[in-house]
Amino acid sequence: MTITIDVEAGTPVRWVTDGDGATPIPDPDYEPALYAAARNDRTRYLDWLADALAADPKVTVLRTERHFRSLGAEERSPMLRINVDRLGEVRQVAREIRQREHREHAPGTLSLYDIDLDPGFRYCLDTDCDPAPDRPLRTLDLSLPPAALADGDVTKLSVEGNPGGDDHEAVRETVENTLAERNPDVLVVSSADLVPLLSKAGVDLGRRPGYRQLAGESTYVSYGQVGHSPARYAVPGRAIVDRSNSFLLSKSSMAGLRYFLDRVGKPLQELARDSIGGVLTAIEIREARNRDVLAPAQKRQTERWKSLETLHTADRGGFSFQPEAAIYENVHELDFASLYPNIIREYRVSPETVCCDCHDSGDVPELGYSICNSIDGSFLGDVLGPLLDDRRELKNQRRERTGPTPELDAKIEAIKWVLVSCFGYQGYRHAKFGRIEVHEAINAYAREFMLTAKEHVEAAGWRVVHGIVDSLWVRPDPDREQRPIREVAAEVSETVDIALEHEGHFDWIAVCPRKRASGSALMRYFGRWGDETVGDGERYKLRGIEARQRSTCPFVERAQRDLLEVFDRERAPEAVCGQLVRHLATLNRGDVATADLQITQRVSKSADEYECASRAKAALERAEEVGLDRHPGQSVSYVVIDDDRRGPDRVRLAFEDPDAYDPDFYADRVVRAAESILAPLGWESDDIRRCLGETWDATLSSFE
Amino acid sequence: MGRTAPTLREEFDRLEAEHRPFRRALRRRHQPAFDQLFERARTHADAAAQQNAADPWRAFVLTVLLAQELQVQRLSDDDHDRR
Ligand SMILES: [Zn+2]
Repeated sequence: MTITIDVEAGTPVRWVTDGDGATPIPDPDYEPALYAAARNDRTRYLDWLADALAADPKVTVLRTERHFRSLGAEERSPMLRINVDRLGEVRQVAREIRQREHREHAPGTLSLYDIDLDPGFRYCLDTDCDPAPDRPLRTLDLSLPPAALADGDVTKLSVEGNPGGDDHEAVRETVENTLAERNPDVLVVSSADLVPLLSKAGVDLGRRPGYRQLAGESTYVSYGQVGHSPARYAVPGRAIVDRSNSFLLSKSSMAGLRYFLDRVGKPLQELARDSIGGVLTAIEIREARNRDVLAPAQKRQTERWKSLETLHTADRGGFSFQPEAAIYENVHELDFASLYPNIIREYRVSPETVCCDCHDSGDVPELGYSICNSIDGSFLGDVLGPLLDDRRELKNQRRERTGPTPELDAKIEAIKWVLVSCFGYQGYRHAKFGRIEVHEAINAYAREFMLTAKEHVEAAGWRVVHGIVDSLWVRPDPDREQRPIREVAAEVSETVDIALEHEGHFDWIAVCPRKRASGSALMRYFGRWGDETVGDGERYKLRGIEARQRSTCPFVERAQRDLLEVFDRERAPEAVCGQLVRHLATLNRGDVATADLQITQRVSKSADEYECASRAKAALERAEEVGLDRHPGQSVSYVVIDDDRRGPDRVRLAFEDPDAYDPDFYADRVVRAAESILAPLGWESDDIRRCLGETWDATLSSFE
Repeated sequence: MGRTAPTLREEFDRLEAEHRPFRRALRRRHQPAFDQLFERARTHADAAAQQNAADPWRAFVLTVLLAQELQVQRLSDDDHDRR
């Protein structure tokens, strides 16, 4: 029934559906709680803490309870439950406890639990409140282009895709009328900064006047990537979903968000801005609560001591089977379905089962770690199981449908992202319920199963072209008889208890040589699906080459795809070069629309932090010149207008709609794209330039 | 003597066992070549044992190199004869 949970002066206010609208229901009796446990469960530290907090006006109730400290704990530990008067003050109380501990005791004396939960999620966990409404959510889409947002110009606002109006007054009227008419539960905004901006224009987006700022903007580093976290706002009675700051929405759609709303039981507004690890952690926290395990404040469990040899085996990473650059005919792709999550579930790899103290069964291949079998099921299995089952069920539903299925696609995609993240997250040092041995064990099983699959297909007369992580590409061994590949895959599935699926058949695949400079292990290839596989999908599969890269402009992408078709038809490098000349000539004549030459790049630092004069730096300098705010972690779109220049005049930003471009710069890009297509044939850039030299001269003369 | 020779053979066997994961990850048609390395090493194990090297790995590498050197000579002789 609930649409969103506001916090007003420390009191949660549940907005529940009421016919077409919503009614606020405050819950003044609710008190959030955090917990403290002491090292070696010494209760005297808890008594000390209780005394210390007795006079704190923020704290209402102090009580000793017993809960599990970790997933693997055998007994419940005594814990001090600390009730806090106002929702939103938990972190402050925790900080003060840390300060006291720091003054009077050795570090690590106390462990704190349940301190960093989002307030709405905490309320739902504590009160069994279901944050999913009992009717479809009504959404309203508001977007404003970045440049207009930077200028504070609301006249460029679009409301559900329609123009908002020519002046402030007209925009205010349009938005207010639309809000009154549609009475939305969710506002999907291009940027949360719209909230204060529209407020300034006299528009209240909430079901009551006013808005709150939840957090200011910040730049952070996560997994080695620089990210930008924009400011966050809330309005009364409506959930805000910030398109520029929603992992789930960017990978899926509202349907995917809605799926996780039901699955996680976390209010939409908080869920929408969760990172992928955040979504997973929320499911874990819920599952841990079912087991009376509280959420640790920070990771305490350190890695166990390991022999050098184990360390070596453990760190080896995923399986990979290097391909040689060439063209391979008649190739089948075999994939283990959701390999890592299935290993987690089928083999019960979980923080509380791996390396238990009661077994020495050496279950995990290579590493010899034991998996405890005096427990039924496993924590991670219970966390991922429903996602795995739902995804399979949704895929079955999709198979039965004809025509487009955007909702199913979105849900399937959203689940996939959370499933794939689980493995990496287990190895992440700060993951709440992560544990490095779990990460290693999953890896070891995965390698073992890939090798098992390889041995089976080879024994059945197939050669392995390439293999990586969870996929194998195989082709018939010309000197031997083959057993049908699907039969072999079924045999492997039975052996390892995880489905090895026949993903498809390629008429051919062309593998590019690895780039020497980048040192990346990523395979670059392209291939043509066989008729029985392709259906009405894409004819070619591309990986790692320019047309697939985000920073490639539409013109170069189209040119590369076109060259790929010529390559497929002719299989002759000269023919591809001939076609390349046509694209170069179009560029040279100035016939390409600059909209097709836009390069979009994520920026990792601000303009003055770039040491070399890169195009991204130039784009940032240009952004500054025209007053557009770009932060590290955001992306910037530009057209190169004169690559020989340095500074802002090297580029123009996409929204400036430039009318000229640098043909030589883009020619170079197209030639590089052609190199990728010809590399599997053994052609290098010199060969192309030589061939171009001949054809180019002929072409130029034909224009005269 | 026959005291150290069997030991080095055993060491080679141990090295081969130790490298089973390597062998397993090789393409099937490359595996015989891998096995051949150890066969070649064993051919000269008796001589290598006289060195009484502390590191069996070094003995292994040298015996394989020796065997390959002999093979190279044989091939170039064949080549010579044909000409
Ligand atoms: Zn056990």
